[in-house]
Amino acid sequence: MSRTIVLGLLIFILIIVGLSTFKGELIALSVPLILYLLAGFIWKPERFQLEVDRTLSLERILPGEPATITLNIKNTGSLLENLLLEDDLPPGLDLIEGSTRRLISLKSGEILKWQYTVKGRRGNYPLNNLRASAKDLLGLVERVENYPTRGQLFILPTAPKVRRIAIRPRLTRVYAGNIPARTGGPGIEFFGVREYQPGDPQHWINWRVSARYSNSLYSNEFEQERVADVGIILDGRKNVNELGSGRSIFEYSVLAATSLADGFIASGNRVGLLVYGKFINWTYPGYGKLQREKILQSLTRADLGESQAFSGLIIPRKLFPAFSQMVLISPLETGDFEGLVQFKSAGYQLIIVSPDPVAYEVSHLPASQNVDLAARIVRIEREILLNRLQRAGIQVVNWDTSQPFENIVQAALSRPPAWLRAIHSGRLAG
Amino acid sequence: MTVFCLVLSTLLSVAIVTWGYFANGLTNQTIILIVVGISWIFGQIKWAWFGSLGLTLMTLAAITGILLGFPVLPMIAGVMFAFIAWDLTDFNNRLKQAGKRDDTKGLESLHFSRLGLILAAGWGVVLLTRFIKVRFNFEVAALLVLVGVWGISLLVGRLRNNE
Repeated sequence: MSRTIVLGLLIFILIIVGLSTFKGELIALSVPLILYLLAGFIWKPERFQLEVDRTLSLERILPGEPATITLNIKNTGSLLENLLLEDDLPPGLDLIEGSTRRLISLKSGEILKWQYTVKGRRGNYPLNNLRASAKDLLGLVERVENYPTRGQLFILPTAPKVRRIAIRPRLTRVYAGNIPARTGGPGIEFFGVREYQPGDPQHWINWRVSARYSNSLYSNEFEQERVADVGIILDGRKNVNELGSGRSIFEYSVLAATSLADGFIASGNRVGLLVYGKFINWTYPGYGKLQREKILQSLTRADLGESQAFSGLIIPRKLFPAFSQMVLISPLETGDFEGLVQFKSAGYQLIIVSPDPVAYEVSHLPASQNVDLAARIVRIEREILLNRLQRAGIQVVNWDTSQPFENIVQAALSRPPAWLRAIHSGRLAG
Repeated sequence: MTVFCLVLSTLLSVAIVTWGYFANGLTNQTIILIVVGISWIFGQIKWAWFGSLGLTLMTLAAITGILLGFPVLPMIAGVMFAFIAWDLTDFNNRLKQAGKRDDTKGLESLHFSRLGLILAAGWGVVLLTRFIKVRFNFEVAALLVLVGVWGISLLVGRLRNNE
């Protein structure tokens, strides 16, 4: 109940009982309460006017890094004796220094500079509202206003650098890159021998083959290297990613997706991203730094979702160019096998990077015989699934998340640099 | 400071009103008041509305005491202390929301000075009534009741509109 009403009721009671019983003391007792009400009315805060400006020391940070939020608040109205300012922190951000609330007196024209420092988990955090509540000093009248402010904090996923990821899609694009295009032409790796054509560099002539035929010369042909279409699918299904006690392996999947997207874009490829969870979040394929930024923002916002429609893994093929390279990042579950095989049989080259949920879960459980036995059973199930996928021609990278991602990728997917491949092929050595 | 004054005023209010009942031999009512007082002290730490409940109960107990012929000044003092506790409960809740660097001392001193001013004026009026006696006939008293109720209703209405 409002304090004003409580006070009003008590005053009524005192006056009525006092007059009906002819007790002047009771009426006199109501006087301090009436004075209190009057004081509240006289000193009530006027409709207040504030100018609020928000700045962030950094708008893009990594998880755990601090960012300082500064609010400059100018009182353009009358004196506010008892002003409470509340800057609501979105869930996921933690306060590490300062305060998100201020209780102050603000004179007319006075400027308050207010700073606090936060850190947080990966995500996009809009900071677009400041709540101000002004009361009279006796707390009877309260005025509340919400001031919209500009600002948002991006806490980007961490992405270890991975370079030279070996992919071999069936189809490449026309631009030069570093993915073997299964076509002869200028390149580094030996592809075949063809009849000499005018314009071929002299050092391309294969003298050994030409010596066998007296009438014509033969040139070496190298495999062309081009850029390709790469589709990254991040599995955000809650039932697959969320493990016991609310633990989730999803952050590792996001890390892998960020790292791979960065690597593919740095190699000049056209990369698209699909986040598959509560709904389908599709970042249209593109090249370069702008695309990297789009993917990074999409991954920053990526979250787990639960939907009946997407409980199984059904990849919408229309989103991806035919015969392109696909990378699925998912902890996987047994029911995903058929969908993946169908996808592969549609002509896509598929790599699955699978953060190992078994190893992750076991590392968080107390060691016991029962845990060991359960882990063994689940691990066998997972190994069977991975083996079946490999037999279906799908490249699977099983990632024990206790190991650095870049090391796993380096071992499983890396391609030596061009100069090293040239040495191996004997061109430079010869 | 606020918390100390809050607890002290609550204790004083309960003690004074309870003493009035105890001194007049109403043991059962004394026990009830003690229970109410203890509940009030602990309840207002967690629930802000306990302050309003405490003030209402203490005021009703004081009115009853005055009607039963207990000494008037202690009963009025009991209500005044309950009133201070009620005010400080709300103020303390507001102070809890302050940041570490906020000037709570300044706000406290301003609040106490305003509250002190009101209480001093109120107490002065109460003391005046002990010496000045005005006699009204029934019609004038009824008219005063109507004007008083209308005025207070207007004031409460205005304050509610401003919230």
